[in-house]
This record gives sequence, C-alpha cells and structure tokens, in this order.
Amino acid sequence: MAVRPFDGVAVVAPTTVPYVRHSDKPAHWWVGRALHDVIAAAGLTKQDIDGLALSSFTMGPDTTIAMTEHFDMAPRWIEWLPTGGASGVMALRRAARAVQAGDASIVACIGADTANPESFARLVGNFSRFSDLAVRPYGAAGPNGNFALITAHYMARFGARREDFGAIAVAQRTNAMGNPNALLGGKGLSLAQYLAAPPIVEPLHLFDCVMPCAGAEAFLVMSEERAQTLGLPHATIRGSIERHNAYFDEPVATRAGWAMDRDSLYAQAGAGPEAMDCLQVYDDYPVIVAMQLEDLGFCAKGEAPQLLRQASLAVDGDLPVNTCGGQLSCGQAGAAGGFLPVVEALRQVTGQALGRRVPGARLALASGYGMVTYDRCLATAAAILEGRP
Amino acid sequence: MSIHLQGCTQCGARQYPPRDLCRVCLTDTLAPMEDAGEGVLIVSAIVHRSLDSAFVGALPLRIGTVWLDCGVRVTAFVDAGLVDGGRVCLRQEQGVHDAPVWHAGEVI
Repeated sequence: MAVRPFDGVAVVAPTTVPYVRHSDKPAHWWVGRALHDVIAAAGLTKQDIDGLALSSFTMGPDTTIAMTEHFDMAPRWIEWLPTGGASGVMALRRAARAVQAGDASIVACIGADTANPESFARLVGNFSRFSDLAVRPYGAAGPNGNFALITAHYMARFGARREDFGAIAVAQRTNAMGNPNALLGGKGLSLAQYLAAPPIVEPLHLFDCVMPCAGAEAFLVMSEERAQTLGLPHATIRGSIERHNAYFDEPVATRAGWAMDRDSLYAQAGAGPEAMDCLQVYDDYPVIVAMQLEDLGFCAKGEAPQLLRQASLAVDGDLPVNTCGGQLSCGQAGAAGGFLPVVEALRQVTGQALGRRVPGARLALASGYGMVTYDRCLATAAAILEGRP
Repeated sequence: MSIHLQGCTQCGARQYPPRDLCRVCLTDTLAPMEDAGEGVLIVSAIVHRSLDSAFVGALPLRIGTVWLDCGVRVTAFVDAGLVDGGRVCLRQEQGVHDAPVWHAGEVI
C-alpha cells in the first residue's frame, strides 16, 4: 500500500537552546527551556500545546509522561522516542500523523540532554544488553570502537582515504562559521590539522569524533491552516521514510535503512535527490555522512569518496550538507543531535538559519540514524521538507 | 579447538550475543552448541582511548569483527600478526572485570 501523503501538516518554529560543553542542570531543565522557547517562537501559550513528543538519554527514570507533571500540562497525545539519532525525524512523522488524524492540534517535539564529565561514560556503560555483554569488554571504546570498524571496512572495501573523511569534517567546520551555537564554530579546521589529530580508535582520529555537550532542539507540528492563520513561516512534509535493523545479515554495515526506502521517499515527494537544495544528515562520524550520500541516492554505493573529491559540501558549494556545521562542529547534545537535521532543514527552507543560508533554499532533506545496541545503528529515518515562507 | 555458541534445538540457527529466544524461529529451546570457532577477520581497529580506567594500562588494544563460518558475527580482541580478511580461530579468555572475552588467533 502506498504511503499516505503528509498533506495539510506544517512544521514551524525551529528552536535551539544554546549548547554548552558541560551543564550542572538536569535534562529536565533543557527540555523545559526548549518547550518555553519553542512556544514563544510561535507566539503561543503553553495551553495551546496538546501534544508532546520527547527524546532524551539523561532524564533518568523519567519520560514524556513525567514532564507533563513537571510543567503542568494536560496534553491529549504524547510520544517518547528512545531512538537517539533517529528521534527527530521519527517525532516529526508521528506528530504529523497525530495532527492529520485529529489526535492533537499542536505538537511540541523536543530532543534535549544534559552533559557532564561523568554522564557520557555512564550512558555508554549501560546502553544496551548486547553492548554491555559483547562490546564494552573489548576495550570500552564506546561508539568510537564500532564506528572505527565500520570506517576501516568502508575504506578497505571502497578505497576511501582519510582525506575523503577530512573533506567532510573541514567543509562542515566552514559551514559552522557564523553559527553562534556551534561550540567549535570559532575554531577553523584545515585538512592538515584533521590529518595530524591524535588517534582515538584507528582509523578514527580526534576530528572524526563528535564532542558530547548539553543542549536542546525543538520544533512544532500543526495544521498548515493553523500555521497560516498564525502567520508563521513553515515547511510542509513532502515525504518521509523510516526503517529499523535493515540488512541485519551483513557482517559489517556498509549501508543502512535509507537504501531500502529511498525510492518511496522520492516517489512521495515527486522529486529526486537532484532537486534538494540542501541535505542535513546525521553526522556522528564522517563515514556515516558518506553512507547517507550513497543510500539517499546522491551517488552510487561506494562512490562517495569520488563525489567528495569533486563536490564541495559547503553552504555555497555544489551539494550543501550540514549547513549549520552538524554535530561535528556544534557538538553532540545527546538526543538533540537527532533533532538537529530536522531543525536545520526547517531553518534553511524558512529563512531562519542561525548562520549561513543556502540562497533560496526551498527543499531540504533531513535524515537520522540512531541506536548502536551492538555493532551498528539500527534506526534510520528521513524526511523532505518544503519551505512556505 | 572448539567453542560453544548459543544455538536453537528446533531450527539449528546459531546466535551471538545470546538471546532468550531463537532470533530466527522465536522458540525458546536454546542450548550451548559446539562450534569450530573458525571464520574470517572482516576488519580490525586499534583502540587508543578507553572509557574504562581498567583498560588504560593495556592500550593500545586491537579489536575486530569476526564473521564465523556458522553465520554469526563476533566482536573480539585480535592477536598481533593477523591480517584483515584472513582466516582466524576464536578462543575464550578471562578479560577485565572477570568478563569472558573472545580472542581471534591463528587457525591451528
């Protein structure tokens, strides 16, 4: 059965609570601050919000339902997304369907996390049953271990060089200039610096790895009619896909769920990859950016290295990718990192960029990738947004 | 040398990490099954930074993905001298925090 269109739904109010390297505030503060800011950005009140979708790794035993009590809300629809890097697109999809069905009128979608020197090790130390038993005892490298293996395998199989991944990191750092929220945006990065960085888990070096931080990202989902009445610049959803545990038989991941569903994505949108004005992809590691360029159809499998040698990913380049600098430059604010592609896509197509904007951007593709419970991320999702400024 | 892996007495599938039901047929009639422990070292990487202080004195450590002939993949420590893409044999040893860990070594 064909996917029903996301007609009549608007995404508004891209909101970023400025990131900090460490925070002594609990995740609940970051969720609440994002809620405050996203409501204010749309000129609404808390009482207007009747749907709440949240994602966080550091709220301890609490989930969305607890937050309704923290903030005196009585929504008629809630969602909890324990899917990290894929949670932003997944929240968007679920909220859009709730609005279409009339189960909610205005849904606040929030990804938020706190960070302190102990929180990341604690998170990695109790992340999944499989990783506790079958990954952590092998040097406790965290996700760097898994993605070093994926990167080394990709390099051997497709002839990628460190310089190819460096091109991604350097372009994204250039894109971050002018984005006041990018924690590393003020620090330029040259290819020479990238190549000279200390090894973390070879072949990964320092600038292949995101810097954990605290922060929040949010947006609202409502009817297009409501967004027009409120006079809010908004985006519509031209298409969206989701897939979990794709290609589970492959010994080392060379592709993920997007490859399984991209034809559906572009069929829904009635537009192909060549029509996208910018691409906001999940960038926990440069190899995953390369994988998304391939799996989302911007080049064939194994050809991202060639593409990266010819095309620039800069905001003013041939193929603008991660125009705010991505997590590699902004920092990885936990689950907010999974919301960043959606929020930045929304900023670009509605003319609300924090930093540099792709001139005239109208169509943006946002994608997510989350949850390495053993040796690869399982959750993938993507959406195409069209700006209606 | 041989190892033991969790297997399904109904459909014969092997699995790792261990689960509570068979990943293929979803029955819970699982048992440890003998396996030659041989396969291919698909890829390896060198750990220079660890989140656990217990490993710090042992760094750098070589880890890898082994694709066993029985169709399961295992994260393992990798002995020096082994080449990515080559045949290896798994053995189990005691690791830090008393956790049993797999080591990939030469096929004897």
